[in-house]
Amino acid sequence: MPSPVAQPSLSNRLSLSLGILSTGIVLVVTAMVFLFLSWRVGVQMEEQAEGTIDFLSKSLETPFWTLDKDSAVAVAQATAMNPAVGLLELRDGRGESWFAYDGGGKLFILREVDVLYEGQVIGHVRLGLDESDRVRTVTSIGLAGGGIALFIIGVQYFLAARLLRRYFRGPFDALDALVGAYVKGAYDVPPPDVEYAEFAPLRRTFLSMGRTIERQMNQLRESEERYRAIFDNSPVGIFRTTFEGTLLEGNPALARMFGYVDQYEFMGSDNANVQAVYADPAARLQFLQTVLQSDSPVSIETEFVRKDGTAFDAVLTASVQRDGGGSPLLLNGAVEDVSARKEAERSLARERQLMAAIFESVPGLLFLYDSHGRLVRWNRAHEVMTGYSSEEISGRSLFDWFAGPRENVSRVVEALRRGKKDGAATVEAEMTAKDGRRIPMLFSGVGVTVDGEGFLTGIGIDITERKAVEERLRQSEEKFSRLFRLSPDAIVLMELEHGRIIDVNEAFTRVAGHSLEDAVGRTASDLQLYGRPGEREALRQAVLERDLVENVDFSLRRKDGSVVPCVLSAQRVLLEGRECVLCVLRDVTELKRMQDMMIQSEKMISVGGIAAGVAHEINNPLGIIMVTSQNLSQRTRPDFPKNIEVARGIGLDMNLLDQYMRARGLHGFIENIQQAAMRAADIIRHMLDFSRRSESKRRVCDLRAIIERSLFLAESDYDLKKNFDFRKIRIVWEIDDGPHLVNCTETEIEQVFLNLLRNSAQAMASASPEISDPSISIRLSARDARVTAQVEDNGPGMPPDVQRRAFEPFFTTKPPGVGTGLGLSVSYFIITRSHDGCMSLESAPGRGAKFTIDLPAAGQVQTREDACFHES
Amino acid sequence: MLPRVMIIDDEEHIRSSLVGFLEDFEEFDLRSAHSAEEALEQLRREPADVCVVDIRLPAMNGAEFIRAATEQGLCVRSILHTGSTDFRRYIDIGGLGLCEEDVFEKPCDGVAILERIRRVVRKG
Repeated sequence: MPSPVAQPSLSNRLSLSLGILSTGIVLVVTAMVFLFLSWRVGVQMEEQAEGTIDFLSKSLETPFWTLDKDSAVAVAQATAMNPAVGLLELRDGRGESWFAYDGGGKLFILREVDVLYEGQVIGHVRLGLDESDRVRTVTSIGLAGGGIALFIIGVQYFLAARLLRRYFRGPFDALDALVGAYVKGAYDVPPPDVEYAEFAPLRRTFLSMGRTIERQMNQLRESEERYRAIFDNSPVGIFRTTFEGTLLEGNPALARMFGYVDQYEFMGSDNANVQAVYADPAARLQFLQTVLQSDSPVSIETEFVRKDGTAFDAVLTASVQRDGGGSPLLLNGAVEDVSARKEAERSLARERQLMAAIFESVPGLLFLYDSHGRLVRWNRAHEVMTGYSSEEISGRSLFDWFAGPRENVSRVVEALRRGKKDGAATVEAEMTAKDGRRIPMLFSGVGVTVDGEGFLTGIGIDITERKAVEERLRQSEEKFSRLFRLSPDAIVLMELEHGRIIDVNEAFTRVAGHSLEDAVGRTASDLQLYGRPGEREALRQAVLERDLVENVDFSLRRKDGSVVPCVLSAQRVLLEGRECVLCVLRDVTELKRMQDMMIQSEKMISVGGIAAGVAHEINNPLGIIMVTSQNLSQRTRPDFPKNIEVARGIGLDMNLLDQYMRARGLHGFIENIQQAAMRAADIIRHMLDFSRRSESKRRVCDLRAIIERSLFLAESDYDLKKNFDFRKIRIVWEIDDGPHLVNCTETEIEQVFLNLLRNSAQAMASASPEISDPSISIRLSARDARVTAQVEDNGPGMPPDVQRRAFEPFFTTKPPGVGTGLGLSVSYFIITRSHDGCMSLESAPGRGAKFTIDLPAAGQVQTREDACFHES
Repeated sequence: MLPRVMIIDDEEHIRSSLVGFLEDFEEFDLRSAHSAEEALEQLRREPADVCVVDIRLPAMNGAEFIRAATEQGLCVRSILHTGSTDFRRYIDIGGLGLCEEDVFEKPCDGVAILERIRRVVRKG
């Protein structure tokens, strides 16, 4: 508020102004009068000087003329007596000074005239009027005028002051009091009384203004109250700061947000400069730069620090308040604590990530179909599995996936129906991929309702592998079931506790003679399967102790009471929660025989190997023996010309020598040497047969043709002829349709059959009593990719001990020199080793012998083990 | 003039016994050699009608000898007389111009060799 003392009063000013104006006028008028009067004084004085000088010149005309000096001086002196005269000089015509007066003062006017007489200059007068006289006059005038003027001015001042106070200050003071009341907020004061019309509009205006102000003030107050309520109660922090960061204003929310009790505490704190509340001080600078470049409010998300040092996320929105010149002045804005929202967002994002991870990590396809059956959500596995891109897959219909057999689709329809009823359903169906592959899948779906719309969601798992596993399992089960049933080994499954039999296979029935029905539910002891006393306990003990028994010798008593040597393996197993024992029994009767044979065969192979090496070395000496003994025999013949010639030359009688040789049996000895050599050569040859293996050329041959050739060789066999005429034997052929083609080395197979035929013939020849109708049956049959040949005679047959050793090398029943004991073993060797075949013998004394040879048919790849497996 | 027969064998006793056996018949002009090389040398002087050849010989073997002698026209016909049992694995009988009847495995009957030589000589 301005001080009332300091400001000038209007009425004072007005009266002063009027005073000065009138003073000015008075002074001007006075000055003009004064100047006029002064001028008039000057003019009068000049006129006076002119008159004086004229008077003098006339007065002095005569003296000068008459040279009356005294008169002239008297006149001059009289004149000089006038105080106005300051200088007076008189000079005669010749210039001589008659009179001179000088008052000494400043001269105002100086006049000089010549005194003439009859046109002749008789003298000179010089007159000067003194200034002081004129000054005295003028001063007097001035003083009088000034006095009058001062008087007039004083009167005027007085009057003006009185009048103005009377007419102006009163109303103005009243109005002033009104304004003063308004200023004080008093709008209900009575209107001031003003008596002059000129103030009426002013009063009206003031009153109207007062009312307006009152109304506006009320509105403003209400508005402020309103905004204050918003400001105070806003959940958002509102602030006003300087650009330097000083907090000028802040609402309670702002204070609370930053950890203060109220805004006053905040503004009084160290953080009243908001620079400090930014977690990253650079953030504010950056924000200010952005805000300054923008005309509208700018928002950022940043981190602030509370009073206690903890940080929180907030959204800061602010704008610049500029001054009239457009320079930034303040920063107004709001701060919203979004840490909770951010936390919620983070939580939501984390939730989304987790959901996505779960979604994607499911080992199958996930789907969500809308109520129109359109695929709206799916996982990546869905795309990968079906081969469709996300664009292609979107919106595909549920039934687009199921093509193929009708039942495939109907299963899905049925599952959907079930799902509708129960809320969830599973179904196995084949899903068609983009490339047309049909993938067996297991679908599991659930109906869900979201915002009133029905959805079908669920999972599909590729069960190709499971299906394959199931199939493999089924095949495996079938395989193992078959293995169990058809195993060549007898298998018995029994429970451990009581030893009761649970299951047996066909081989068991075959070997032990007990049927499945007989065996199940009974114990091994019930069936009297133990061939040796104590075997049961030993086995039970071993199984209990070790869980596993492998390849132990076991004597199995058959139903018929005979005992079969077996190898037993037993394993303790848990089947369907029951402790069981699985026993495998292998009949080793044949195996044992085969083993013996094998051992012999192996021996022979090594014998053969050695034989091949030494054959040449032995054959040579044998050759020497042979030819040398022939020489001996030849050179002792009495009828040989060369012998006779040589004997004669030395006087020897060849006949006597011959008689001597005969007498001493020398010819016989020599023959023995020859036969021994041939026998040795025979043995060598047979031994070599062991070393002749498959290097011999193989070709596909008709077995019948080979047997026929063997028959021919047997018929023409020289050794055989000596003892037995092969042609006496009746040959009976029994042949099926064939074909009887085998891949073989002809000469070897030929040799095998020749051996068999020769053996039969020799056996029948040596039979006692003589066989009346010796015959050999030759049977040929082709079955299951095998060609089987049988050679059966009706000879004396073999007792079991001979039969058992028949294939043994060097075992022979023939007299020395007749057989080498290698024929059958070599044959066995050729059939089993070189041709992957089987060879067996059946015989009994008096019932002939039957050899069976079984060879793989040509073009068949079958190992001997497989083939002979079936045989046994 | 008797047909000339050459016995080639590294085994001296074979040679001597066979020569001894055959010479008694006085049907052949007999020669013998212990190696193929020596035989070829003799044959270059006096070619033979028949050669009885062992297969395993010290340097050049029987088959090589037969091939060389036939090529050089030193021997009309040859007969194999061998103690080997596996010679067929590496000798092609037919390729040497022989037949199965020309092969004699030791030990063998001297008469059989005699008859084969007679037969071959007669055929010329």
